[in-house]
Amino acid sequence: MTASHGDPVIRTAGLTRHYGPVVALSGLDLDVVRGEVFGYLGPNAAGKTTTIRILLDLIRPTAGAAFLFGRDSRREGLAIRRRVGYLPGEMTLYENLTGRQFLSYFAALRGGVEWAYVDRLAERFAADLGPRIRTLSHGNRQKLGLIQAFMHRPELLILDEPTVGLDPLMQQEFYALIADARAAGQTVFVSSHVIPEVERTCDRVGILRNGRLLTVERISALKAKAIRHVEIRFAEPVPADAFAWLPGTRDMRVDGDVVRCAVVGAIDQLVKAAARFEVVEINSAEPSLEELFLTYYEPAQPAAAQVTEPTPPPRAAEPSPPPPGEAPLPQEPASERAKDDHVVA
Amino acid sequence: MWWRSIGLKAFYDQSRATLGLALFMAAYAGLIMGIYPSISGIIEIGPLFERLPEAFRVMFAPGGLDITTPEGFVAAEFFSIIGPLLFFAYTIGIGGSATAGEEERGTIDLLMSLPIPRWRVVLEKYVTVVVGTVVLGAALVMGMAAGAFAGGIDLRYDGIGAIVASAILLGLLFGALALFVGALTGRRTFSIGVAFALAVASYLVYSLSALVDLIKPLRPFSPFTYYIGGNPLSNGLNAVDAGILAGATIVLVVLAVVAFRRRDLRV
Repeated sequence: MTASHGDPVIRTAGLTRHYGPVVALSGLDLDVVRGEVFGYLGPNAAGKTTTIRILLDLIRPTAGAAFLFGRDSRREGLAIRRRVGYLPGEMTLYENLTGRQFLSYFAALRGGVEWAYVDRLAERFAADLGPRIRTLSHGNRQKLGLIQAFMHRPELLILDEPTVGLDPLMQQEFYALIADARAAGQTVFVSSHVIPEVERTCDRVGILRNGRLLTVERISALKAKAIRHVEIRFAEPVPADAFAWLPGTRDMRVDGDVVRCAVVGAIDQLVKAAARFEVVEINSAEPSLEELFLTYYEPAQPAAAQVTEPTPPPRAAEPSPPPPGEAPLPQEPASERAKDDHVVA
Repeated sequence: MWWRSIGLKAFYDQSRATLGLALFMAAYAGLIMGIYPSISGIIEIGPLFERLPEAFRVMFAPGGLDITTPEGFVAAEFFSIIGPLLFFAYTIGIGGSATAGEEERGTIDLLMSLPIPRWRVVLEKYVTVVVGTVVLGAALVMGMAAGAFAGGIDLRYDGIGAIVASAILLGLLFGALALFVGALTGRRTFSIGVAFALAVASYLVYSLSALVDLIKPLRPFSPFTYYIGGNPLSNGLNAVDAGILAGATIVLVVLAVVAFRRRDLRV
């Protein structure tokens, strides 16, 4: 979709950054095209913030180069930053100013913005611009940060872990803001260490680990790979063989009235199997990044081979197969060995 | 209006410090001026001063100052040590906090994500220091004028103006030094410490060079030489001395810009 056409808004070529002996970023080649919402996923210290700081020319690369709107980040930073809105990961604001004074200041330094739009954004986030920033909670500061990032309607938004500290209601509002930005044709580059957040907001995702880009994928492909741990509690003990042969599950344990397993990709088959009995509770931990990494590092190793993936039955509710041209799911044909891996209590 | 530019906001941020210090300096200098008639009425300052050891005379009346005049008295009492210290407290404190303060607080990454060149941040902040220091100097002259009026003294304002201008230039030089170290390192307290230590050292070099032959060769390297060595109170502002102070300041500000542009921000 978006990945196939459009000019790159962000392009990095061999971008590398060392801090003394520590390699924070290593040979990053990245393309973010106009109009897409690009998720930059990785654990803490993966190099996400380092990348973003280089894009904004706050720090300089050890090697390689970054281009935004086709311009060199080092030489034409001024022209670039005019068209970018930025939300830092760890943001410090001017404590002695009120929210309104702070936004006035940044609006002036940007050469003026349409103030009615600032008011609309403030209303949308229910942000009170009156009190001094010193007195504001983390969430309310984050709102000011979001408003200043969006207020000049930039072509590109660079958001570093934007939902950290926002309450669930404001997170929803943030997702809606991203959707609006996408609809308005703005490009969004958003970093995160939470898989579901990226799944929910982004078109494509680049996965970063230890300063290296593991892969860039469509969200659908990421969803197909993400591993989710699920625990289902039933009203009464369930027969183990009812769950023994489910596509896309692994580490299945049936223990009286509790079923625990890991689900790769869509959870549909498991839910349908469970629906035959009286379900009391379903708990699902959020997909873990570390487990996702394993699928990229060791696609044919035992950990991934435990996944049972028989030929999909012809049903409409099946998860869509990965788009052509992308790496296939780590999977093996159904085998007796895989079947034996299930612990049947 | 305070949120229109970096310079205006910086001036707003330091307005309390400026106002407080301006009042203090005006009151202090005014008081010294005001008590001069009563002191000169009781004791003969001249003969008393002559009996002091040379070291003290050099320290309190640099550049062959005649301290029996009201201007000389206030110069000895105020402009030898206290005055420069007060100017330093302002220029070094604010110069050292200019960019390094934003870096230490963590506001710099948001600020520099705006379409503003780095040189402009350095320059606007330094211009703010200049404006504030001139305000201090003006307050000082007004305080002395008020004290002189109260004491019924006829003050020579050309001399006073010259020594205040000279003190402003000296203060701005060390403010620029703090600005430069802060722009180079991003460390606020470090830059303030370095600039203040060098200010004290340059005072010691200047005042001791009159007494200790060993130190005499260092005298041209002390900015205090160009501040008060030419006795601006009696002779007016020496263009060469003022030019050296201003030139060194400009060099340091340019170096600060260069250092700040080249560097990774401490974010």
